[in-house]
Amino acid sequence: MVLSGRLLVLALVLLVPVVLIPGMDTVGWCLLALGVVAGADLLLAGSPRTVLIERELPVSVRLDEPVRNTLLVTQAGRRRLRGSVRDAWQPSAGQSAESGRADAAVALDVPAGERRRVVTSLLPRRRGTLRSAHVTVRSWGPLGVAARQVTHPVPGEVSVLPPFRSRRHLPSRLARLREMDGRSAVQTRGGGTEFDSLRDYVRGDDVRSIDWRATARRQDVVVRTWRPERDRRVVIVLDTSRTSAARVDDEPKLDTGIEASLLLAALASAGGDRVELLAVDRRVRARVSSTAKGSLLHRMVTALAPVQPTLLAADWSQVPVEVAAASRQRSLVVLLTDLDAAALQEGLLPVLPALTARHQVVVASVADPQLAGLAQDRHDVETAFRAAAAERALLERRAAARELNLLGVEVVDEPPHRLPPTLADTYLRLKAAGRL
Amino acid sequence: MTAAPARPAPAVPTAGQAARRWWRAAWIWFALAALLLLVALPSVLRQDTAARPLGTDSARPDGGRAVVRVLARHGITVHPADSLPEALALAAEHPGAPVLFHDPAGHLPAEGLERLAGAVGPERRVLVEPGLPVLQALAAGVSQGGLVPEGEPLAAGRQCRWAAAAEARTVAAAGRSYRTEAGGQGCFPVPGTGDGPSGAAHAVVASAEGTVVLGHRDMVANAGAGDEGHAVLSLWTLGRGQDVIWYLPSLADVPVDGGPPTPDRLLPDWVRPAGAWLLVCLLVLLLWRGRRHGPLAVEPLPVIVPASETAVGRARLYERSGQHRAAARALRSATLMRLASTLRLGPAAPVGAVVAAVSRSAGLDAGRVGSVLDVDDVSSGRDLVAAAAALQDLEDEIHRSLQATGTAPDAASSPTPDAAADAPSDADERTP
Repeated sequence: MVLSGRLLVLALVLLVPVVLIPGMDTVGWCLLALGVVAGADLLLAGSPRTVLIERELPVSVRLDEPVRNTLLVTQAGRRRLRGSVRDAWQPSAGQSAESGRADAAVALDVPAGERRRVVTSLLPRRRGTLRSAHVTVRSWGPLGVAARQVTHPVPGEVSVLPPFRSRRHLPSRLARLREMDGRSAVQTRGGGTEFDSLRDYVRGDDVRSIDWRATARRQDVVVRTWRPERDRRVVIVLDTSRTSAARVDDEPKLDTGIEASLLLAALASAGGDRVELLAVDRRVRARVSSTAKGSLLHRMVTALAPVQPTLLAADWSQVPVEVAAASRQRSLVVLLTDLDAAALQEGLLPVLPALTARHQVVVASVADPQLAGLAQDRHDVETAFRAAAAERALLERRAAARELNLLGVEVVDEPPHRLPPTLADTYLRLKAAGRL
Repeated sequence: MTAAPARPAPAVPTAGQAARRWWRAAWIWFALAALLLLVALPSVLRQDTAARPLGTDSARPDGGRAVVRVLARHGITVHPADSLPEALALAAEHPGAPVLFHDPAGHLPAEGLERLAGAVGPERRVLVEPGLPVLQALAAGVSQGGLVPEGEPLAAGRQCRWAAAAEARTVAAAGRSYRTEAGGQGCFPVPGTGDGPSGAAHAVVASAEGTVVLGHRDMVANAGAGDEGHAVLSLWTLGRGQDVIWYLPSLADVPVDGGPPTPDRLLPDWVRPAGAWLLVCLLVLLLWRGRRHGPLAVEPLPVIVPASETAVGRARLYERSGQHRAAARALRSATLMRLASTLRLGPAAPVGAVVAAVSRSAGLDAGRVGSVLDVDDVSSGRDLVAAAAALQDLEDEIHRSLQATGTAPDAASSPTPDAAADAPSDADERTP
């Protein structure tokens, strides 16, 4: 049962007879009148229990993109239903009604036996799975002083995919990949070491790439084109352990890692390489391979959407095994983890030799730009201590990176917005250098 | 992003199921309320009129049930009366029956006492612990004698020629005492109050007209009726005929229109109902504003760990344990590292080499640079702030002088803009 402001107005109006005819009898009669009005309105309201509700919802949506959440409300009862309906999405779903009301309750008027469409739009604010367990229907009586309210269990679920904001870096990297491939319109010789084809010399070609033997066979000058190696393996290992829960620039390190791995995977699959993705903490949380059917990126975002940081230390000892299972031949192994000295010493460093012996390893980590800010501010004792601690942390990161370099590991340590493009550039550099 | 087909909702609970579910959630409260009622009800019901002092049905120590029972066993009917009209009616109905009158709270006003005096003859009155107004109205010739001090039981005394008192022999020393004029009889004299029949105060007094004044309630009450000679006294006094009228004035005797004016009486009539009605309005307001549109939605919250938390925590550890020197050394190492990379000396360059390179390329005094980089004498917060600022100033100075001379285009301190990195490069790294 729900009461409205109109009932309050009615009650205040009834104050007049209470004052004019003083006595507790009058109060009793007025109370009776109020109860009769509210009860009659309740009895005359269309039953919210006989309503049938169906839900229309996409399976998944990209973060930052709105999605239409549609409820089909059918009044199967005998009376018209006048009231409102509220879909109980969790707050981070960012639900808003099309009318622009903030409280997400949508007005509704369904004649008996008819069906109406109620549309709200969701603008998810967080990656993962969003849920709505129930829909509450409120039905006002003809006077609008009292309403009946029933909660229908109408479960809804939408998977919020990683946004892949770093895809704006993709065209420029693909252009460079094409240049390396020799297929670009730009008059540059393709990079790489694998012989591709012979073609006629065009003005501007590098004279060093003229194939004199083929030129001798023909009238025209012929040049060789080269392309980078194809069908190499790229294994991306995404660390989902407790270090990935830390927030840099109000984004968990895991989300930055997902962005970087999506850009790298898109680039590598465009470059003709095979991509394997593993999300690992104490066990494998997600596994995607480009050899399976379907779009690699779509399968990656779907697999990574529900992955959240776990508050456990990562178990790196299983990583070489998993990498070996994913790829038997020499690969580019990209570890998206944290350069935290303690975690590195205990977890990653002991297993790195097993990886570097067979593979080219890149460790990519999210640097915290706030540390540099802390290191700059030194105006009083507290900030001086903070600056010292920040400098210490930066020194430790640098030392850890140097230690990894000595093991033959490439280190990418960049702030969140720089990490995906820098990792992609590292990949292109290694590919151009034939180190895959 | 493919639209799924509309999914029908699971079955909605019917009204009956909803009611059952509601009952399952709520029955425990009903059970608790019922239990509370069961426990509280007897004690509420027991608080009846009988609980008053000398109440005929009251079994409490100050009740009168024991005496009433004993009288009833001897065939004497006790007629309890709570109000004056009742008492007057009973008095008229049973002429000659003794009337027990006990009014410790003074419920009966002066007019009531006069009416009672007019209807009940002096010889029928038995007054228990009467106050001054009662004495003036109902017992002419008896005056107050003060409180009876605690002590030995009082003996009937030689002056007492009343058979009941003589038979009772002693009464407990408690309650009030009274004096009587000549013609009356005082029994159980209180020692130390004087001599003679009219001079001394007595625990029990019979006036010249035959009105009996009992000085202490316990002579009739449950608690004391068996002590000393109380039983004899009370039963002889009350058991004179076949009926006893037991009049205990109650609130019903209090005059309704008496007393000082209260705020309630000064306000208009409608204030009280209007207040009650405004309470109803408040309830409606609460129900209107307090109702949610369905149950709350649950939000699984993520863990929020700011990444710089460990650095801030370490800073606090340094500060709390007074590690000024360690902090200054960390600052100095970072400065050395940056200077070495600016001057392209490599990360493992010794301090001396860095100092020499700085003074050479930036034109600074080597001694001054060395003293800034020497932080081993930092031992307080002030030293630390000074050393930190000096190191920062040194770095800024070196950067400025290097930029001015243009000798060190520094790649590390000025990161390449993204646009530059994105531009297609035609770097030719390998030549076949």
